[in-house]
Amino acid sequence: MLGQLASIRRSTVATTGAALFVAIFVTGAVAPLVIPASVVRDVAFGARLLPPSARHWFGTDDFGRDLFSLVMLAANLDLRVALSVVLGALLVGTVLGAVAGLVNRLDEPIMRATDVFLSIPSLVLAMAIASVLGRSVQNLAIALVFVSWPIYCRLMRGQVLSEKQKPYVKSLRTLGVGPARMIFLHVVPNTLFPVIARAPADVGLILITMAALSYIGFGPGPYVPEWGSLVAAGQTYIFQAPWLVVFPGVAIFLTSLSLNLVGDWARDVFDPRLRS
Amino acid sequence: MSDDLVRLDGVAKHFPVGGGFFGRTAARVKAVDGVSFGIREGQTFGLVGESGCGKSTIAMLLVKLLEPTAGRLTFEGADLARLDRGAMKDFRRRVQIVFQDPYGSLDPRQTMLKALIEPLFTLKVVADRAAAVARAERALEMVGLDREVLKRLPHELSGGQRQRLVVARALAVGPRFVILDEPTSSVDVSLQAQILSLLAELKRGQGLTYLLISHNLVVIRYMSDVVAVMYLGKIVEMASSEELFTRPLHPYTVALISAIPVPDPEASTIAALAKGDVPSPVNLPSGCRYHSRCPYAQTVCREQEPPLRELRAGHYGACHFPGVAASAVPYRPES
Repeated sequence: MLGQLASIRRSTVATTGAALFVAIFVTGAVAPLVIPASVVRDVAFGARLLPPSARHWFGTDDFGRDLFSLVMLAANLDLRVALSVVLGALLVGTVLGAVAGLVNRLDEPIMRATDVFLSIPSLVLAMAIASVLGRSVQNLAIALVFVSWPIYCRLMRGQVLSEKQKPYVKSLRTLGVGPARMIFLHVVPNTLFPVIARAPADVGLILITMAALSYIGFGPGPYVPEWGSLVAAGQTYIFQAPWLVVFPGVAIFLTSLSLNLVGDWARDVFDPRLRS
Repeated sequence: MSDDLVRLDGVAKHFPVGGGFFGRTAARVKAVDGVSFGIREGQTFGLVGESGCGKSTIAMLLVKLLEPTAGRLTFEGADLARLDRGAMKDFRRRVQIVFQDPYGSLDPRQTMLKALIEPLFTLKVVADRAAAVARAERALEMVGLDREVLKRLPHELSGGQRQRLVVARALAVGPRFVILDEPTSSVDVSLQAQILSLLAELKRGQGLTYLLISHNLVVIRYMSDVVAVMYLGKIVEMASSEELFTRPLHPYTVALISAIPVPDPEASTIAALAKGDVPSPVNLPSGCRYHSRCPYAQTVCREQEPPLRELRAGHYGACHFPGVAASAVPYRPES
């Protein structure tokens, strides 16, 4: 009874999260198609820092550009970067983590490498990498992959190590299941899903880190519509035109919230014990 | 004896422990330390002892999940250390094990159908899926499970169903020799008798040979033809079940038997109880391994390790003073 209630509540929350994320995702996908590029390029000093109105829903920025268009366009860039960063980190991290967990000889080197990456504060490391590579969206993404793979690597290694010890592995060995079959059909599928289930919530986290990085100046710059950069550009006018900070900030918040809700749901879905 | 289906000769398994900072071995756990016995075709051989005495290690050695440190294990006369790839498949088909935790023995993502048919392919028991499914269904029938469980996942079954399923999975490949490692320790008491009689019935029907490992003497007594009692990696007493339970000669066996609860409030209290705890298998006691807990220990017990010798016809024991505690046994299942 309680369990049922909890699962209904959980599914409502999950549906809300998923709906919100889909809405943001579609906005991001459609924005570049419907919003002309001139909105970003064209400067209209006569229309600087206008408050939200029927014409400019989110007001205008200090170049007189329509903030609503900019925030919508930024959804496209931010989501693309955050999703590819997580996919990249997931790929690198799980492969290295699985290798570390399965091949004794490579365990130490791989784990010490992740220790090195994890011992440096991720923001500082990302800043260092971004500044070496130069200021661009692509380099920001690379820097973010560099700071986020070790988490997956560790998680995957731990999963593989504990899975290898489970009694069913012994039991399947006595039933003639060989090493390759054991790894690819039993151990890895059982370990992969908890790791993947973590990914949606991490997309939200990456989004925030990315916003933080571009806020402190390691982003693609104020002319490229990106939520963090928009907040950074807007803070100069925080008292005259607070909407410059509020709208992109709310966009970051809602996206990350929806991803966290989807993340909770994904964790439940990937746990076979909760499937019915 | 050459007519043994399974034989162990001086088998030992030592595990390095602690491991210093640079991989030095600090000490060794002598989990199994020189064990010899044979199991004849059609027998149920009971192996009993406290946790940590090495009985499960013997099971693991017998299914080649571990390799012995010393000694020789043979099945159908063939040395287990010398099986090539082909012989190995054959061996796996003929020797099966049922582990004590049936839930842990199943891949949590596999449906019962997959769990049952996968070994049939990996061990090349059948050639095609239809034959595999038919065989799986026959195995289910043998253990008294409904076909309906085939599409379920392990967590969707009850404890008793899981135990039956794990037995069905082992039997589906058509083994001759089955190791039962604590087959009833994870099911409710009400189900234990059911599982045991199922196992006994399957043995008769399929002409199986069992090695039954348990810490439960009542289970061992009910199921076994021959019983060996292990203590700290060694066999301390071995005899036919009848002989061992009515005429135990080793004080440890006497202590175990007298600790079986008897439904009689008038029964005399436990007389020969072992003192204290099992010593660490890393630092084994000198002389007789049991002397530190034996109420009858003498000086010689601390100094010399008694060998396992034939004390009566077919009754082996490793004690300097066999029979010293025999009078203290209240367990009389016949009365």
